[in-house]
Amino acid sequence: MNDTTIENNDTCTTETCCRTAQTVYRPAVDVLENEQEWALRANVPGARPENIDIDYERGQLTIRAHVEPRQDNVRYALHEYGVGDFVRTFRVGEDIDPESIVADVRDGVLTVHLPKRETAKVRKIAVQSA
Amino acid sequence: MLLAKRNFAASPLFELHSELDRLSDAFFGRCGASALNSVRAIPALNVREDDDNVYVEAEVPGMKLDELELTVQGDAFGIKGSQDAEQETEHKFHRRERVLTQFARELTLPSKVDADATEATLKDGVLTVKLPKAADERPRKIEVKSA
Repeated sequence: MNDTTIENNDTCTTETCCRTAQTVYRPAVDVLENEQEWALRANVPGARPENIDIDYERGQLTIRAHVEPRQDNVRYALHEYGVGDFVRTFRVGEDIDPESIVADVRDGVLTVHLPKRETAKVRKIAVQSA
Repeated sequence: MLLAKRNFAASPLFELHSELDRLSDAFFGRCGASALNSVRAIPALNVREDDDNVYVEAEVPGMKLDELELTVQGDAFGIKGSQDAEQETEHKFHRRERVLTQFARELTLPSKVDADATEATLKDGVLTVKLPKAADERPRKIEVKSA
């Protein structure tokens, strides 16, 4: 049994980062599973819901959150983080149903639900006494 | 060492994460977000100022206003966050990188501020605190009159 049905897949494609000089950030992510679904939770602080794209294509799930610069040409007294887009790609196993993927974002946390296919769900078989 | 540059709570989890990131960067080359960019301090803070105000910005995804506590006195600024661990009894974790549940940081602002006039707003997981500078710290324009 492969228990890492959602795997990190941060291979770089020209589309996501090499072409532009802008820095993209890899969001911190939790990957969770229960009997019904897989779920991803990603920190995307500063991203508006309308600026978040989630693509699923041939087993690859990509989350992309565009973050508008919050101010221009500022001199910082302390500068610990840069502001830019969040991008991260995952390989997703075949046990999920791509048609049923849903997502929501709240307080800068993106949650993606990937429901399992019926056939992948664990079924309890009752054992009857003879 | 990388960690020294960042403001981490000393936690084995971070080190592991950082190590993994470095490994994956080694595999995937320079194009991915670099390890330095991909792991952030908890919470990462940006501080900027203009003539009248100091602004502190913090990334606190998932936090609510009532889970944050700010203290301001003179030029001392403190931020504390405390969040009940998300109740996850029905899910099993396969990967856990989001660790922003308890934190406390203190810093010295570039100038003294008026604590009573401090305003804080939380939007999309970004906290912005606007701290008006104390009156005697603001730059003053001196008019030069012709004699």
